[in-house]
Amino acid sequence: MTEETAPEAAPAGSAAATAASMGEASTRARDSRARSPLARLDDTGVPLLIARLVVGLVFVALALVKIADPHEFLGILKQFELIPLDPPILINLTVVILPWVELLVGGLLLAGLMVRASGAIVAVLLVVFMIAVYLRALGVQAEEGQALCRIAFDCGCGAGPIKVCRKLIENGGLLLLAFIPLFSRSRRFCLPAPSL
Amino acid sequence: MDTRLKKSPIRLLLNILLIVGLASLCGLTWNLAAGKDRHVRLTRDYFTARHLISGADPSNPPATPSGAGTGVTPGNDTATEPNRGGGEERPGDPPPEGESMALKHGLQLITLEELQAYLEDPEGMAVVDARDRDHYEDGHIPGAYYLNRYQVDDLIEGIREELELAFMIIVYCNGGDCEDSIELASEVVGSFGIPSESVYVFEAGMEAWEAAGLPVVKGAGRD
Repeated sequence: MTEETAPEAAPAGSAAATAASMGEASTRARDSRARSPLARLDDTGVPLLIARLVVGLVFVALALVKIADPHEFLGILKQFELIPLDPPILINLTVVILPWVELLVGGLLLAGLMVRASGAIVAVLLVVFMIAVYLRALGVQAEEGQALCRIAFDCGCGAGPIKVCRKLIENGGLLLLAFIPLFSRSRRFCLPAPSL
Repeated sequence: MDTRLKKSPIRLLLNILLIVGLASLCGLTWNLAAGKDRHVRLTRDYFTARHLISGADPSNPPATPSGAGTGVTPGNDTATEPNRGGGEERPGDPPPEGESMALKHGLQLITLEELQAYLEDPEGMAVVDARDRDHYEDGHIPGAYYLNRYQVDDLIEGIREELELAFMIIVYCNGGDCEDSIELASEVVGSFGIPSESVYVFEAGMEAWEAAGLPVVKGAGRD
C-alpha cells in the first residue's frame, strides 16, 4: 500500500520545499535510532502475520460452523435478546449475513488483503460479541443467582456451551490481536493491494 | 500535507462498506441456493411462541391428560388445579427448579409415563419430533414424525392429515433447556390450525426417554 511507505531519501532537486521536508522527516523517522522498539517490531511484519493467522483462522472456522447450520445459529441469537424479533427480518438477515462477514474478514486477513478494514470490522464484532455475552450473563445471574464466572451457555460462536469468563478472556485476547492489523504499518507477507 | 494520508480514513470506510456489501451479497445468495434444511425465510417469524406468554391466563391452567396431579407448585397460588411445575420428582418430569416453560406458554404437558402408554396403544396419537434431521436420525421415539420446527412450512403437508385426525399430538425435542418443542407446538396451533387442546409438550424430551432406557429408532424411518 503506497501510502504506508515513505520515500527512502529526500528527492534531490525536487521542486516543492514541503515535499523535501516531508521526505527528510520520513527519513529521520526511519532512522533506526529514532524509531520505537514497537515500530521496529512491526516493521518485521511478524506480529502482523501472527495476528492475521490467528484471528483469520478463528473467524473462518467459526463462520463455517454458523453457515453450516443457520437454524441453530438463529436459535442461539434469539437467546441473547439483543436483536428485536419484530420485524422478523432483522434477526433473519443477521443470521444470513453475519457469518459471511466473518468468513470474508477472516479470509481477507489470511490473505493479507484490506488488512486495516478487516481489522476494524473484527474489532467491532469482537466488542459487540463481548458486550452481548456479558449482558446475557448478567441476565442469567439475575435469574439464577450464580457467580458470574460459573455461568456457561452456548455463545453462538460455533464451539458449543462455554463458560462466560473464559469466553470474555478469549475474545479480549482476539481483540488485542485485532488491533495489530488495524494499526500496523507493515505489509510484509501480504498480498499486494491494488492501488485505488 | 500529503494527500494520500487525508484519503485514508475515507478509504478505510469504503473498504469496510465493500466488505460488508460483498458479504451481504454472498450470504443472501447462499441462503437462496441452500437446501430446504438450511434455508432461512427472511420474512418469517420463527419465534411465534413468545406471543403465547402474554396471552396465558395463570388462573386457568390447561387440562392435563390424567386427572391426578403431582402436587402444587410452590408460589403458584393462583392455580386452581394442581399442575406439574413442581412437587415430587419422578423420572421424566420436567426439571424441578423454576416453572415449566411449556406451562408458562399456556401449553399442556405430558409425562414420560403417559408417553410410554402411547407405545402400548398409539391409536389416535401422533408423536412429533421438533429437532433437526441429524438429531432425528441419531435416535427418535418410535413412530415419531419428523417435523423440524424450522421447516414446518415444507414438512407439514406430508403429515397434516394425520395431525388433524389425532386427538393427541405430542411434541418433543431434546429436553432440558430446549425450546424447540414449545415453538413447534405454537406453530402447529397458531399457523396450522390444530386445536390447542390436542397438543401436548413432552418437556422432559429425548434425554429423559433415553435415560429411561426406552426403545429408540435410528435413521430416517419412523419405526
